[in-house]
Amino acid sequence: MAAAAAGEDPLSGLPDDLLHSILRGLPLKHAARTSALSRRRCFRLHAEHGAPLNAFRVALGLGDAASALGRDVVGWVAARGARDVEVDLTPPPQEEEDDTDHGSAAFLEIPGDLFLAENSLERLALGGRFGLRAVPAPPGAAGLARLRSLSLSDADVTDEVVQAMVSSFRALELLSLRRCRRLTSVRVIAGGRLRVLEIVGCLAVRALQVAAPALESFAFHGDIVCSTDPDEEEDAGGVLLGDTPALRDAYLSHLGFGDYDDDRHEECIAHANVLTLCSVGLLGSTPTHRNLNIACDRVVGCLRSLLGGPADAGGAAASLPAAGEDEPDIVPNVDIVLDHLTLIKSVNIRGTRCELRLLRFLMNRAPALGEVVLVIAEEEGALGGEEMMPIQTRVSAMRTALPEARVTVCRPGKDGSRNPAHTKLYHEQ
Amino acid sequence: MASAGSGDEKAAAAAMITLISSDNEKFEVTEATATLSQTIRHMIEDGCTDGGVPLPNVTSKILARVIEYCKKHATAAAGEEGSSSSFSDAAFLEVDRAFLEELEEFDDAFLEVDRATLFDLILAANYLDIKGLLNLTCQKVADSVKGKTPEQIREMYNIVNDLTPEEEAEIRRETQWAFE
Repeated sequence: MAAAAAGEDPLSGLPDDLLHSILRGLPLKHAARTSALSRRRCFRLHAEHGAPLNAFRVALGLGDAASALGRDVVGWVAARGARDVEVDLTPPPQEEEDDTDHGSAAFLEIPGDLFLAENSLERLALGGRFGLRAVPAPPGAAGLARLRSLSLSDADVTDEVVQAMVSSFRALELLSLRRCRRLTSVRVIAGGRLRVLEIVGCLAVRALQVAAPALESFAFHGDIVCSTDPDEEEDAGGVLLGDTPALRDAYLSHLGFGDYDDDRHEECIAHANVLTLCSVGLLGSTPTHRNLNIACDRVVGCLRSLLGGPADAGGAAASLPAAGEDEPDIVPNVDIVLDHLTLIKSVNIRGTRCELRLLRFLMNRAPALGEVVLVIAEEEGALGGEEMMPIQTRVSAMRTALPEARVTVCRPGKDGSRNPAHTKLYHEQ
Repeated sequence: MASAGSGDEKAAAAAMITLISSDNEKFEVTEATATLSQTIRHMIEDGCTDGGVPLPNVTSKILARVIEYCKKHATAAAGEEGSSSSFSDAAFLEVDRAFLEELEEFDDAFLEVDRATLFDLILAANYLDIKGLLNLTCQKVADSVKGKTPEQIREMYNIVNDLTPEEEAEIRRETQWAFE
């Protein structure tokens, strides 16, 4: 262990692991600069000569330094052959409140190189304020031709960019967009690879058009509300699913109630084996919304009638018309048959009349139904297990057409049933 | 700290470890101080410290500094354990904070060494497996190159640039984002 005398190069004299220990103490950007120092392989960081960097995951939180680093990480790692990159800059929720209307300046643009130069990325997950404006129009984004999974949360991404990405990234199998607030009218026209599509909490989305023949799992959780502007009503769309014969798992959820009257002919739900409804909107906590909206328009039409008109104030249950229990819930134009539906799982159920009607509606149209799972709302003031009993009884009584169907009432997390997209979407957050 | 109480003297004496530097100088340290080094901790566990622990990779000058560091930080560790039972939580936190500040000042002062010593400390910390000291010294070097251009770093550390201009241009191009 000779002391490094003056004139010697003490850095290059260190073993690799110690050099790494030093470089680890540097912001990535500064560490990367050392790769231009000399041929000494360690300065080139490990990716240059060492084992290929396969997976890179980092959660950086908030702050300018973290943000700049986050952007660097993506470029650096992707340029070095990483296959799986996950960078999370999501700020803590409370800090986000006073900054919800952040402009594009607050976003970190992903360098355009990522999309142009060929790389090995197969999975890319970006959380936080990333911007993807540099995505070139198709077929420009050759760099990510191998990408199979793309997840964006809170990203600055526009409708056009989504469309461009979907058509450029030919290998894409999974696309997840969460809380991307700039999205308004999303078109996902995918090739034959896309199997999983999640659009969650993108609150400005009013129209969603999907053409993905291989789609197996579809989750949409949004707040499609009709505009009051009659001119816009033409375009205000809702969800339009193309032919999706492989769809197994549909998760449809809504934060509020929609109100539009489009009479589209949706066949999407008819294929689904598993339909999950999360009736947050039915809680009545959003009095400005009036009607239940499930993403499938055809069902929406029915449910609007079911719910019997406006319910403007107070809890949804209280303000619903006091219709009798045995009032026929058959509404005009209901010839929909959900003949593949085997499991209905209703989450956050409170036992309100509209919820029960919704269930009855679905149960009467699902001849193959084998199981109904009702998951009680978790928050305080929700129904206790005992109070759920009458509901279970009532739900059980509904299944006149389905003597085989099993009805289970349980608390959140206690249902041992198959979990469709729902668990994946909400238990992580 | 070894002679804290007369009743403890026997136990304390039994827990002394002798470290022998490369130039054959002997250092008596408590076991608590010595075991900040994982390397020595394992030796003690294996019962091979009788007659002293030879450290052929560490000079007496560096070993003295390393022991200085370990003593301070071992006291810190002992202080935490001792005070947790005798202070209320609030008082304990107060003491804790004051101690951490003191420790930080100690570390800063400790790092005021010439470059050769700093690198010898890194090597010694690595050899003796003293995580805190290794992090501290490596961070010091990292801070010294932070924000510098490759040219500045080469000059600072006498690094010979053995890259051809083409190679350097290529690397620069690849890491363009790092220079923006």
